[in-house]
Amino acid sequence: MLQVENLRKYFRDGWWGRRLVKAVDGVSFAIEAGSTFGLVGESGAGKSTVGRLVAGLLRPTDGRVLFEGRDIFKANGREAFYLRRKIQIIFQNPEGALNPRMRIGEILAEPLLVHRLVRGRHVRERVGELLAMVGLGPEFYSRYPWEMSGGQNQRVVIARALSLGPSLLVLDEPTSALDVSVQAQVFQLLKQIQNKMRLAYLLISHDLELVSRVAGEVAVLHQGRLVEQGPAASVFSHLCVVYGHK
Amino acid sequence: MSETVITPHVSFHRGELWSAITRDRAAFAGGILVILLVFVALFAPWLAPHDPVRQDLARALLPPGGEYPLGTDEMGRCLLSRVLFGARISLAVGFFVGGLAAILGMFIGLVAGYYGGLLDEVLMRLTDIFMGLPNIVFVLAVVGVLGPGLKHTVLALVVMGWVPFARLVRGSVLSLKEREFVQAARALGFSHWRIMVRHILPHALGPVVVLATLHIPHAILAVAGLSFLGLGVQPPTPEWGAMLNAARSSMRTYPLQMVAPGLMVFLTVLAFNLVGNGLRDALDPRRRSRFTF
Repeated sequence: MLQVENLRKYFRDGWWGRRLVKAVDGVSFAIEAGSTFGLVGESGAGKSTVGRLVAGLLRPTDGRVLFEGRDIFKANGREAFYLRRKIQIIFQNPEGALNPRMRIGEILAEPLLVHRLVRGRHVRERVGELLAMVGLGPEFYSRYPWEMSGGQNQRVVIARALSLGPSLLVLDEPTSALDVSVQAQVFQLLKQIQNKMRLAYLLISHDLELVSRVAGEVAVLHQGRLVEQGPAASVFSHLCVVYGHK
Repeated sequence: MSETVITPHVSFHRGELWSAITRDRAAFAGGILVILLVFVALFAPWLAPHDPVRQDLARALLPPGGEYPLGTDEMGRCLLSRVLFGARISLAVGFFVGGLAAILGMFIGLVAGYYGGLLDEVLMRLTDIFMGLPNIVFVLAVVGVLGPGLKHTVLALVVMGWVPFARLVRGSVLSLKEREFVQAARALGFSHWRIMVRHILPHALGPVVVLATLHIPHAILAVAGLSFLGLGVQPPTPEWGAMLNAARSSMRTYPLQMVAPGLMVFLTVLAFNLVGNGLRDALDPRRRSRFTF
């Protein structure tokens, strides 16, 4: 469903941009519909940059990201608008991802209205459904993000992403800002949603243990390049050996 | 104008801001004065005892008292009425210039900060050019070319006034656009315009309001000064600066002719500055902490 081909993203840094930082340097992988693909690596390895590229928030220096065979960076007009809906991203810090001046109801209604997915008078109803889908009651409709816990906010962020009917969610460290007990709940929710909606996940994390539990296939990023790729079990048994030696 | 240091996009809740202002006595007094001045400006026709422009040379330069509480000027016009009507022009100019400069500067800063790149470069070099022009010289030049008059003065003040707003807003936007909720809005496919206006601008507005409040007295003073020089408001329109100019000849014998409009300019500028400073302190958490002990 999603193919990433030889993706590169270079940043210029230092005085007058004389230093070239190769954040992502020739990365290729593919994600099957309904599966979870884990992307692991140390901090600064370029994991988040890959996530942002796939989500279309950054333009690559080189390479392609194909969604159902269509290059997301070559699409324009209607097609780009459609592709935007199909790939959504969940950030690490849930409260930061919500506009602090908007109520939860407004936050969830906005994408529905922008993409004209629901007609005016059904919006409230649809927002209620979305809240229920992530296990939140209708009383959250008029709350502000800063009145809620991190776990509740992350559920809202997930509901907002789901409102557009995506096929792929980029999960960029989705639970590392949350308490351990809440982490498990959020992951259970994500698993449940995945089964129900046949969503694919690109899970970006530095938590090897977590990724080994939820991902089917895993890739290891090191200094912008993929150094390992394959089924979770085999990659992790090999990784243990590598990191054990270090 | 003086460069005010304002912390960008500090969030506050309505109650907090209100209590911070009411606890700041100077700002509170300034606020009351502003309200009073606005009241005077709005109701000048009812408050003034006489027509501010009707001349009666037989009653020129009367001392205060009786029918004319502050006396009359050299044309026999009621001084009190003229001072009260003068509030209309000064406040209108202040709000108009402050508001328009803020809106213009905000838009330029927003676009420059959000899009970045070449557009940002061009717009910011433009602001540098305007920053480099001496304010008064520019206004004098505009009035020199277009001719004296309130309209031209106001135009020149707006053209000069947007610069600090643009720089302020651009700075806030640069940091705001990296925030995750703005990135999220992009991922959700919202238009640039929607992201700028709905998701970025509201967070950059606080400091703009402060700067606009401090810009109002600046504009009032500039217009009064230009009118004093005979380049702004033309007689017989009652305007404080023009009144000061007219009173020069009789300054020694009838000092009230100068004191009255001068005091009004002073009070108005002071009032807006007090409110502006109070708002700035209320929005700055480092200063606010001083009050919460």
